[in-house]
Amino acid sequence: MSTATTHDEHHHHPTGIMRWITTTNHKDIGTLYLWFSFIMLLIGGAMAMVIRAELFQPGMQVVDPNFFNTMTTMHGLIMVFGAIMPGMVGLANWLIPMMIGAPDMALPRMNNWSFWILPFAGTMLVSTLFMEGGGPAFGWTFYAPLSTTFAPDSTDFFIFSVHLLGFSR
Amino acid sequence: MFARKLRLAVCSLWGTVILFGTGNAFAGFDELNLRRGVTDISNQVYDLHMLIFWICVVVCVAVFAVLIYSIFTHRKSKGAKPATFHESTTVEIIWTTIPFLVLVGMAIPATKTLLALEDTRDADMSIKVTGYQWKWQYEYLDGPAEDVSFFSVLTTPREQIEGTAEKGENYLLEVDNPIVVPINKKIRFLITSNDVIHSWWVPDLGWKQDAVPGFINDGWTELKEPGIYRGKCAELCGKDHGFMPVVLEAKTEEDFAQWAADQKAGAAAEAAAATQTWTMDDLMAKGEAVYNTNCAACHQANGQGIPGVFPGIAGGAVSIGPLADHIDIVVNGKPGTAMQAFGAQLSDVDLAAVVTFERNGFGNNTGDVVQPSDITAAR
Repeated sequence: MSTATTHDEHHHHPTGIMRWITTTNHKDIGTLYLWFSFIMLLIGGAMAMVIRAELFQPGMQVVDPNFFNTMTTMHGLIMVFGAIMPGMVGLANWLIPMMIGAPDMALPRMNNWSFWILPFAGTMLVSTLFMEGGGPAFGWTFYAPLSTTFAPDSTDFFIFSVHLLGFSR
Repeated sequence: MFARKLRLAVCSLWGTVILFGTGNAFAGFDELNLRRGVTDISNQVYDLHMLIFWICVVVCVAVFAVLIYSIFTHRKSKGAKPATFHESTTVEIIWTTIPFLVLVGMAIPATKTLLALEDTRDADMSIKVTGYQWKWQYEYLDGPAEDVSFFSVLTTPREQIEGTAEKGENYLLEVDNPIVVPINKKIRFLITSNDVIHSWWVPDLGWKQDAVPGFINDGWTELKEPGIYRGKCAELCGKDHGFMPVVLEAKTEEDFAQWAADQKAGAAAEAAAATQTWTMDDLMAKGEAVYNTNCAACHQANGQGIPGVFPGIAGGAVSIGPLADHIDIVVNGKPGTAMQAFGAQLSDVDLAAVVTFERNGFGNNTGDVVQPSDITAAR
């Protein structure tokens, strides 16, 4: 095996979906973060629309109070942990290596891994909406004891997903 | 005094600017602005708010004036050359001193107001305020109404909330038993909670105070005019957070004494009723009213509850199970859940009625009749 063929293989990148799943390129990972952030922005934004539709006039029209509180809570969590933080990380991943003249992020495989935790954490957070008792309805500041003793069972999933969202960057 | 003069001077200066600049665009300003309220403290808070507001306006206008002037006057097309000096101690001292003076100038009046707001010493009367999901309890600790204690629950009909009836004037701001205080007395409020964090807020008093379980926060007021002042719970406390208003009624001293006497007489009459034997029909009628006031928020008006959050009464394990267990859970609550100990909240008559109603309403038809004396025995 000559050195030339080894060199060629080194440049053989996976294509299709595997390119995105296995990428260690800081720009690709930045792009993934930005797309995730954008999708979460739309989901969180849709929840804001539910809130505003209910508040459009006094009284109860569209949703019941418990679901309304779930919407305000999930909107806050999704916007902070799902949209703003990954959005910032996406821009940082894209720009900072270029700004400081580095060839890539340090520990590029870990950079890939930290992104791919996000979709699972985000899915787990959104899935609480479909659990018995509903999603978290105690405000995104989750003050105890409303968020502990008085919270629905899905709170365990919410706590785990917020931890994952937190350390995926 | 200085602050007030400064405020007046600044107000009149900018008032003039606004009048000439924008015509009557500020006509609705009072509606958008912080409300002045009805007490000395709320007026102090309002004055402080306006003082700080106008300081911010002056700082903002001054900074942007310099900025815009510099951009236009020293632009490249006019041949401006950048200065080449490296540092200037004079400039640094000036831009440290000015913000320092501005901040201290704001901190002094702010601290004064805050201290007055927190000074609950030498109160004439104390009332303990306890937040519950989702109502308020008021207990009079001293004065003419000593030992009077009651719950204050929303009275706005469901039809108004659901939009099938015209909304009333005080929609979601009306309760069955308002907290009543005498005017011209310094009232101290001791505020705590039975379950989650609530916040007791009457905007006209100029403050709100968190009700935290396990802690007692305090606040005070002294009202000048008899009247009804309305507020709300101001900390998200669960499903019916928007449905636990505060209604504060200020009465003259004579009217307050009369009210206190009436409350005590009412409590005595209720104690007498607890020793009588009630008929099933009377218990069912009273029980339905008690249920709708105290239970329907969680267990729902149709007794179905909310799956996964609040268990249903209709066909529920407790309501068709052994009677003694049913009475026990209603009187003592269920620790670790939202089920409160209603023994501390309701009279024996109310408890007997509501248990009877729960065991025979919603198609439960157990045929059990609970007398007030049964509750007295079970306590």
